[in-house]
Amino acid sequence: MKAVLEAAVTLLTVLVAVLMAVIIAIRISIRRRYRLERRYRPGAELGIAEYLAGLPRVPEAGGRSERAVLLAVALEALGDLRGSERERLAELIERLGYTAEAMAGLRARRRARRRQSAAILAAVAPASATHALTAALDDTDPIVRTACARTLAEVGGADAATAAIIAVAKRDIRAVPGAVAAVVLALGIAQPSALAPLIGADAPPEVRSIAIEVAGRLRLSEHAKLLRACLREQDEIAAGAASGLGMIGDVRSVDALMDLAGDDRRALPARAAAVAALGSIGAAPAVPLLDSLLGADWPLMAAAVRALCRLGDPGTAALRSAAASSRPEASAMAEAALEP
Amino acid sequence: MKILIAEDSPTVRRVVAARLAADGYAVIEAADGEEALALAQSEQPDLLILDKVMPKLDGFEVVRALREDPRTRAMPIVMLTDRTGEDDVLGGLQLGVEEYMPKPFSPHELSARVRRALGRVSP
Repeated sequence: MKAVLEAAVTLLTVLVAVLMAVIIAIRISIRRRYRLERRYRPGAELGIAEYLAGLPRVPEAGGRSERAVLLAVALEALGDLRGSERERLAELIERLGYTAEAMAGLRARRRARRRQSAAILAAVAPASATHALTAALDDTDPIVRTACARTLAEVGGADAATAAIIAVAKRDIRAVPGAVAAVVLALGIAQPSALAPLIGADAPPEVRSIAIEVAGRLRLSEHAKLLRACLREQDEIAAGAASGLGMIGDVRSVDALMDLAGDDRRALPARAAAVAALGSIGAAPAVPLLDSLLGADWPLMAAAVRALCRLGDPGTAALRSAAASSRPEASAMAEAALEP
Repeated sequence: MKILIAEDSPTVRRVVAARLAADGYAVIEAADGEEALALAQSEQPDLLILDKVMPKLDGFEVVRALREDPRTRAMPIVMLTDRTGEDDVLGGLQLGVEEYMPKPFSPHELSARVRRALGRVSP
């Protein structure tokens, strides 16, 4: 028993010693990094600032630490800049070999290095990285895959790359939904037609919801037909599609939106989204339907009041009539809406 | 002409300073709101470029203090910030900020806005 106790104490002592050694090593490493950062940072900031101001001298970095600090400063500046200076800085990062290193880093064994490389390429988005980024879409790590997919979507590329980006979005939506949303947004901005397969029924519902919202917010009228088809689907998808059609201002969807808004078998959020879209589109034929919804449940009634406010004289007339009615909630809401 | 840049990011501060120095302005720098206010009052620059979010004293508080001081009441101010919500922009304009420049920004465009703001006060 005593021997066992002694062994346990010895083991515990060794463990504590190892832990302390690790903590000391980490602290030394952090201090060293901090010291190097303090030493090289002012020079890096000045070099980049003067280069951007048009001075012919190119910032230089000798050793590994100095190069790392210069890159960190350059990436920070890149995030705050736009226009010709941003382009100039991105070219400098490429000229100093950082993007070539990052492209090679995408093939590294260590996941942290691959993630860091993907982040550098995402910040710079160099056209020269298309091949390396496409290859990285098969990486084992979803963060690397989605970061490269987003960059590739921004840079643009061959149809094969677009198909691979779409595959990444479908594959990784449950693992990294935020990163996939960024991929879909980048696709919507750079290659709007590429959103179609993500809106269609073959895609996972989570990706579809994002793609539908992106299509609406970017007002991609080329996808209005697909969004109209979504109005007949499950309530969550239908609600997103209705909002999107409202943002696009799709006049051809008025009948389908009125069907959804008036269907009491559908969920309230979907119906309220359809009502709001009718107001955004300026659908005067919807006034009688919206008027009838002034006696409905609160979210629907509130949406109907807001929509009527946007429908000019016929909407105002319906609100006046509701304000004078004996329905207390509708009357109060309509009166408030009519106040200048 | 002398310009004060108040910005807590040293990288952005140096980029702006180098751009304005290349344009021929004398540049002084502040890293936080308190330093900005003190330098604006002591150095009396011709224009202030001010970040909205800064340590010690918020950009709006600096503007308010400068507008209450007769020596700095007319000093033109260009706000350089990533806070571009309606409330932020309206708040700045109501306090008497001449220009509101959102980040990410173009130093060339900032330089043009500085020229315009200075032209307004010294025709």
